[in-house]
Amino acid sequence: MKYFREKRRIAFAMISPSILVIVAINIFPILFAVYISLHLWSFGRGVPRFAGFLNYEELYYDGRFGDAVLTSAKFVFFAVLLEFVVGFALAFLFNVKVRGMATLRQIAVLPIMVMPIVAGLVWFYMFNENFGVINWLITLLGSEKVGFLTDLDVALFSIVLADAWQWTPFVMLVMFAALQSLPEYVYEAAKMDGLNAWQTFWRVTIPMLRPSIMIVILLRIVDSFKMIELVFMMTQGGPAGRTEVLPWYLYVTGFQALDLGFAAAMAVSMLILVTIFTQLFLSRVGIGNDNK
Amino acid sequence: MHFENKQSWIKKAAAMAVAGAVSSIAVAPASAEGVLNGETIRILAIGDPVFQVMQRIHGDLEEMAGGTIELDVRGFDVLRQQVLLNAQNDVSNYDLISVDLPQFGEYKGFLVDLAGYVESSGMDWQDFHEAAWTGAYHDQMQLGIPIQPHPEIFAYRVDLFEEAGLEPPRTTEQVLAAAKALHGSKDGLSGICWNGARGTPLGQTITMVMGSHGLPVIAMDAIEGGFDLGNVRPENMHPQMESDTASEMAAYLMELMKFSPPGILNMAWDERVRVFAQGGCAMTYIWSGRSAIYELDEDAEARGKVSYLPHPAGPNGLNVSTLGGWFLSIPDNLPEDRRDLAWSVTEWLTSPEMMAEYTKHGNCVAPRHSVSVDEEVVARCPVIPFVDAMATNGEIAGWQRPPVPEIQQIFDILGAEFHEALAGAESPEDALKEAQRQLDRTMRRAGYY
Repeated sequence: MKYFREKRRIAFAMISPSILVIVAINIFPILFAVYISLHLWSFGRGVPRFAGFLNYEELYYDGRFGDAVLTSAKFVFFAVLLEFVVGFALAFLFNVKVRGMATLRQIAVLPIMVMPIVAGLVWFYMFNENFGVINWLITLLGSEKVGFLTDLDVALFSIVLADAWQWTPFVMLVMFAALQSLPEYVYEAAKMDGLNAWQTFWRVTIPMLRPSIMIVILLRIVDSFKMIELVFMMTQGGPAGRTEVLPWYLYVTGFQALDLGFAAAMAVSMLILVTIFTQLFLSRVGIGNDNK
Repeated sequence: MHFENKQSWIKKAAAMAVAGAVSSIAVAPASAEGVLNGETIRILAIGDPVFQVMQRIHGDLEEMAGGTIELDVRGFDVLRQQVLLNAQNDVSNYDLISVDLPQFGEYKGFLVDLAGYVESSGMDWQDFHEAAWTGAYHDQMQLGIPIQPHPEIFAYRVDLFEEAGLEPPRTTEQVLAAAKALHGSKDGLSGICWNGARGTPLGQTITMVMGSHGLPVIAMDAIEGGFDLGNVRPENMHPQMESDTASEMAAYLMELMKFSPPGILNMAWDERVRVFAQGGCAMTYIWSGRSAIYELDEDAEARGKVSYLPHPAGPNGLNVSTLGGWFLSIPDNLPEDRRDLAWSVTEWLTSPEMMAEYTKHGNCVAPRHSVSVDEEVVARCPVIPFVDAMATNGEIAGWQRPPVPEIQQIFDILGAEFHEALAGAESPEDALKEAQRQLDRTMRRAGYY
């Protein structure tokens, strides 16, 4: 017994530096954000005042916060949907053994390597109504200019398109790797069982790709929810707040208005929302259940 | 102009002039060469033209100064955070910081009063534009020296106006009439460019246009010819977005939308000047320093065809342009033994010789009368004498963008809420009402009332 206790103590001593690092890097900032959110804390304007849940109460009644959550949800839905559908299709396309496909694959992943802020700038100029190449082409074809960044119904989809341009290759890459790892004998068995191509796709390929699909969707959802660079460069939340996603509103509140207490309350709420969603998603889609 | 304290300011100025004349005998003004004497100066700067010029000619600048110049150039938001963080240090990491005019209200608690240095060095402060000099005068203290203050003015294409037989627009009514006449009169020509982009760009437009309609966005004290920006008290912090003036301002902006170029809802400082430069607009609101974009570009269609006016006045307003731009200040946590050096460098960087030098490299701003009459400077930057004349005529002021700590929140709220109206998502009345509610909440949270 004493031996085991001693062994446990040594084990604890060995892992304690890692625990300390995790606490310092992961846990402390979250706890500090919660602490700030309980104060009226305006950067550089005197001593912070304890305010209890006032910031959360104001958040509850803040229509702009609710709109930003909704806009974020819309953006995540459309961006991830587009990225997944196109990325998945491209993965199948690139899986075909044709000469030159490897080079095409390499070219296709280039957007991932571009900094999001640069991608935002490039798309801002491409969509611009006065200098943009896309509107120039549209007018050459004899049509009216499109308010890609200023039309109430179009602006969010312009951001979705820019995001999809950058991150579809990531989905494609993950799905391509998953496709490559599928064992050949399963397809041979399906063939022997008389399954046609369509049936093989739905009954063999998709179930085997399911864990990869879920992981890539989850990663894209979490990442898209944090997207701010494209909004920063392309619309600043306009027109009329139609592209004001939650991270942008948080940035404006925390880093421009320097209302740290309110911004921290927003950050904590965002963290809770993402955590709840992630847990629900994981439990619903049952990642890991396959191992049971 | 620091209106309420004008008399006391004049007295103080006279006293300073006398003291300066006397002290200049005892204290030699900083020489342009060797001001650093082998030492290092640390400047926290903004990525605006004058400091970008300093970056470009950094080697020459250090040679002139005879020492090392550490120039830490930041974007607007990061600079502000850095200044506020630096203020919390026991000892400042910077000898000089750059301060935007409306930021003095937020920073005044931790800046050194430079009046003593001005006196002892004999700096010719009367050479500076009055609005620029007094823009840094708060609570009886001179908190900064102008290095790149410039107003937002009104530019119009003289050739197009003459062709259409239009008078230069000095009122908002004339602006709308001219915009209507010129909009679409040529292929790709719109009436007017302005900042319609959401957030700070539109927020600043609203504060300035409301100023030209005769009222600041918060209830500042009215004084002769304007409002008192050097003495804003808690009772002045009530927002005025449900006033008749705010409604007039809103109606004007809604009308402007009809004669604006495509993409106006996403147009900000840079784009409006570039569209104007390429001949896409007949008129534009413009920070005077940015006129270099077309005046120094041989390919720009607008080059050499532009004249300038102060902001056109609303029905009950004033022809007064808003002064903004940058000053050099010394943080009060800078040790005493470095302050003399910081002052000497300030004096050198803001000297007439250096201001003329900056214009050679694309900075068309000269807040000194002596530089504004320099023929070579005027040839390079035609806007400078116009601004000088406006300064002399009292057509430049700083109260439109109140120097209060919440100024950025004011811009953001106005720019976000009124964008709804411009985009047609809600009525201007509702937008103003919502802006008023949010501003009121902001001021209450800050504890003003």
